[in-house]
Amino acid sequence: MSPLDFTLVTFGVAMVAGFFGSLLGLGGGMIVTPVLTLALGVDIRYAIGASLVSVIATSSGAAAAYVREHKTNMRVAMFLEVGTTLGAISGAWLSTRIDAQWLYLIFGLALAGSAIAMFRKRHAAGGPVPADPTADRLRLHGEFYDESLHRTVAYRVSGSRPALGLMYVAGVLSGLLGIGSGALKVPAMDLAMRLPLKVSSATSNFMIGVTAAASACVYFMRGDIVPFIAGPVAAGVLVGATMGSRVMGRLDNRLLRTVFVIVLMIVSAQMILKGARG
Amino acid sequence: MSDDLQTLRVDAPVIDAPVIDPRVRRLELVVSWVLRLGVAASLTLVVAGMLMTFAQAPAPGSPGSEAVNANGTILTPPPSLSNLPRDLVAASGPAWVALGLIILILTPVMRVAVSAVGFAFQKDRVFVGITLAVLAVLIASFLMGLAGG
Repeated sequence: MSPLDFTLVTFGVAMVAGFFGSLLGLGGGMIVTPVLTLALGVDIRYAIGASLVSVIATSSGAAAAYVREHKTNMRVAMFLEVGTTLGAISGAWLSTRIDAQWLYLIFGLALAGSAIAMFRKRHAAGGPVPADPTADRLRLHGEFYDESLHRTVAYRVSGSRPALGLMYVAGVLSGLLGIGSGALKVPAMDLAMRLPLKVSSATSNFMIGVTAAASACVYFMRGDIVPFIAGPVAAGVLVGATMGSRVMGRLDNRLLRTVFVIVLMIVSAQMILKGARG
Repeated sequence: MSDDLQTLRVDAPVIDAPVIDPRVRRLELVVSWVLRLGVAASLTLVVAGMLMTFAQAPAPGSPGSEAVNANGTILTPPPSLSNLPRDLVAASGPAWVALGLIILILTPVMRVAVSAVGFAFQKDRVFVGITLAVLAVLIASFLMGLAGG
């Protein structure tokens, strides 16, 4: 493979990752990392560095649109980022001190559980949301315009405290395993906080960039972020995420949920395999 | 609704847009603008740097072509912050890509900083505190990274 081929293939794969990542609130690492390591023979160190770059690129590329369209709930995002950033820094500290292998297994099983719970919620329509004094006091409730329903959807936020705890766990895992952890953030917002899926996805998209930036500096200084590999990944993801953010609002909510559940099952299987192979 | 609370609408062609406090709306537009600017700057630098890398790449078989791996990656020594200014001046392609990546990594940090200012304008003390706490943790993690993890 010539350097030009490598660049073009990486750019193309990254575009696909950015497109789906921006729709689902994920970083696209589950596409970028296996393609780089298995198909293109890149060292796992550099692949993880590039996947962190892909998370940040998805986040900034998509969130620019979602914030402007008022889909991102910035108050919920800032509140939860206290948990994710503290978690990320604890995870980075722990990563040199404990063996993380068995964590892949736990993470994979947690994702499978979330996928099943999210799938079962597909017919549930709105319904009353349990009261949450913390959400009331912090004014976390919101509304957004859903292009697929052609109307404004007002929503109330629930379970903000348990969600903050879940975000800390998500942050620890992303610091320990070098993953974006959007796959845990979206289910936490969907199941615990009862946010509409498009708001969960847009808000997760907004948050994953900050979580990943917290560990990206460590990887950059270690020399794991290689320009020739991370460069085309960043460019491709930025283009793909910008395209995806134009589509997401118009997607049918049930379809979006189905795609999310399928992707969650795939990531779950990846993680369980990784943990079992250990 | 009181007069001082003017209503703004999201700029989509819709009839039934959510009503948003103008100060909140302004923060959203500024944050969106920061993200766009970071994305545009990073994308420009990365693409320009990649083009320079290809222009500078050794032809197959020529001295220096051993830097091209079997899988097509051109591995130059990893970028280091201390050499970066010198390499940028020397118009090294990978250095310009690295600068684009650094801007990409700093973009989320910038938007947290901007949000803190925005919440201050909304006189929302609790959220100024929350945002500054996030910023402090981010800065701590960057210092940890600079200190070598």
